[in-house]
Amino acid sequence: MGSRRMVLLLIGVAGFLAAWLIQLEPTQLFGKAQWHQLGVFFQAALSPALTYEDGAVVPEGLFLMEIAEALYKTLIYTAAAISLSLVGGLVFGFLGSAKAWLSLAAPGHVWGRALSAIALTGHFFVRTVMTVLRSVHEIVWAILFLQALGAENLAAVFAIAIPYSATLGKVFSELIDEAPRAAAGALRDNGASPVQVYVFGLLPAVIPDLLAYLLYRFECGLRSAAVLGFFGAPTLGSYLSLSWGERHYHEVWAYLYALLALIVAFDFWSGAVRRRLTVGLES
Amino acid sequence: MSEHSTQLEAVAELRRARPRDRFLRVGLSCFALLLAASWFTGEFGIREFDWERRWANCERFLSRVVPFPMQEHPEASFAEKLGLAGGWLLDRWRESGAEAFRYTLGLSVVAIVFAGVASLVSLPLASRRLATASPLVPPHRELPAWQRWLWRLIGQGCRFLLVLARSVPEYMIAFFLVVALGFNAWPAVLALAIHNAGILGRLGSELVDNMPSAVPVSQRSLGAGRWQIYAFGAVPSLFSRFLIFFFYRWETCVRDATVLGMLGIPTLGYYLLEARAKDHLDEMLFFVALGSVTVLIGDLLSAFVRWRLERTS
Repeated sequence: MGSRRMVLLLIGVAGFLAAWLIQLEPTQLFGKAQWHQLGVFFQAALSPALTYEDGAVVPEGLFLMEIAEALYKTLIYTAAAISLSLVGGLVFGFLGSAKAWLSLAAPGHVWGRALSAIALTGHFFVRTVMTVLRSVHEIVWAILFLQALGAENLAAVFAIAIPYSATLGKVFSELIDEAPRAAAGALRDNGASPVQVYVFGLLPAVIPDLLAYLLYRFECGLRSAAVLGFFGAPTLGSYLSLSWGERHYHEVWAYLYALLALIVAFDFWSGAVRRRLTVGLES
Repeated sequence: MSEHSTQLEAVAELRRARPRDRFLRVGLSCFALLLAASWFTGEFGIREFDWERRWANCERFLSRVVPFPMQEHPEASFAEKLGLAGGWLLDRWRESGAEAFRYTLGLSVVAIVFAGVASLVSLPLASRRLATASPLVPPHRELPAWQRWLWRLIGQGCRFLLVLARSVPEYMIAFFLVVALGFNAWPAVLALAIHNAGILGRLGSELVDNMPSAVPVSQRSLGAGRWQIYAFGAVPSLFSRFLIFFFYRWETCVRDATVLGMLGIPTLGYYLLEARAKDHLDEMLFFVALGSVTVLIGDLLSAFVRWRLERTS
C-alpha cells in the first residue's frame, strides 16, 4: 500500500474514532421538530427585511440606518484592533526574527556581542510568548477582559488585538527569516548597525508579503469583530442576536447579507491589491 | 564629482521609473487612513477611561483567579500551597477537564475530516483550469455555446459558494444550527466544516491552477477527462501540499472548537462559561488554560506533521 493511501486511511480512521469519541450519530440530524423553525428561518433568507419587522413600534425607514451603523461599528472595531495588531506584530516580528538580523551583524561591531546574546535568549522567549498569546481565542480574551475590567469598548479591541498581534508577529518573523539577504549583507559590509540592516536591508523586501497578510488578517478581523457582538461589543453580532431573540428572521438575514457583502467586497479588493503587489515585485 | 552627480542622476532615474500603481496608492492610503481614523471616532473613550476603578477591578479579579484552596489558606507555606494547587488541579481535570479536552479535540478532528472531503470534491469544480468546457487544451472542434456557458456558470458559481462559505463566521453558523440540531456536536461540526471547506477549497484550487502543466496536459492529450486529470494527475502530485493546508486548518479548528462550546455544546468553552456563571473565577481560568494547552498540543502535532511533509515533498 502506498504512503498516500496509508495517510488517507489514517485520517479516515482518526475521523471515525473522533466521531465515536464525541458520540456523533447521524440520527441526531433527523426527526427533530425544530427543523421546522430552521425551515422558517431559511425561508426568511429570500426576503431580508428592509424595515423593522414590527413597524408599529418604531418608525419605518430607520432599519437601513441601523444596518449601516452595525457595519460601521464592525469596521471601526476591526480597524482599531488591526492598527494595534500591526504595531504589536511589527514589534513581535522584529524580536522574533532576531536570529536573522543578528547573524548579519558585522563581526566585531560595537553592539555585536552583547546584543546578540540578549537577542538570542529574547528570541526564544518572544516566540514562546507569541505562541501562548495566540493559543487563547479572541472570544476568551474578551470574556477575560470583561471580567477583569468590566464592560468597556476597548476590551473588545484588545481581545482581538492580542492574538492577532501574535499571529502577525509569527508570520512577519517567518517572512523576514526567509527574506533575500543580499541587500542586508551589502549594508552590513558597509558598516551598518544591526538595526539599520534590519530596517533598510531586510524589511523592504518583505513589505508586499507583509501587506498582503495584513489585509488577510483584516478580513478575519471583520469576522471576529462581528462575532464579539455576541459578547458585549456593540458590533454587528449584537444587532443580529437582538433580532434573533425576537425571532425577526428577516432582520437577521438583512444583517447577515450586509456582513457578507462587506467581507466579500473586502475580499475582492484585497485580492486585487495582492495581485498588483506581486506583479510590482516581478517587474 | 561629475561621476558622483551622474550616479545621483541614475538613482533619481531609477526612482522615477519605479512601478507605480494608482489603484494601489489610493486603495492602501484609504486603508491606512481607516486604521488611523478609527481611533478618532470617539467610540473607545480613552480620555474618560477610569484607570483607578479599572485597576481596583483588576486586582479583585486577580485575587479570585487563584485556586480556591490557596485563597482559603493564605498562611500556608509555598510548598504547601503548591500541593493544594496541585490537588485542586487534579480534581478539576478528573471532574470535567478530561471530558472537555477529549470532546474538543474529537470535535475538531471530525470537523476537519468533513471539511477535507467536501473541499476535495468541490475543488475541481472551482478550479479555473479544470472547470472549463475544454480543460487545458483547445477543443478539437467548435463547442456548442451552451457548453461553454454551463461550465463558466459552474466554475464561477462554485467559486462564489466557496467565498460565501468562508465569509460567514463559523460561530454564527453554529449559532443558527443549534436551534435545529440541539446541544450535540453537529452544529459545531457542520459550522467548522462549512467554513473550512470554503478555505481549503480556495487554497486547493489555487494549487491546481498553479501546478506545472506537463502532467495534466499530457493526460488530456491522451484523452483523460477532467475528473481523471484531477484524481490521477493533480491529487497525487499536490497531495502533501494539500495535507499541509489540511493540518494548518485543523489547528484553527481546535482553537475555534474551544469557543463553540459557549453555545451549549460540551467543549471547553461550555465549561468556561459555566464556571463564570457560578462565579468560580479560579475554575474559569483553569478552562482558559486548558484550552490554551489543547491548542498548543494541536499546534505541535500539526507542526510536526507539516515538518515531515515539507521534508519529503
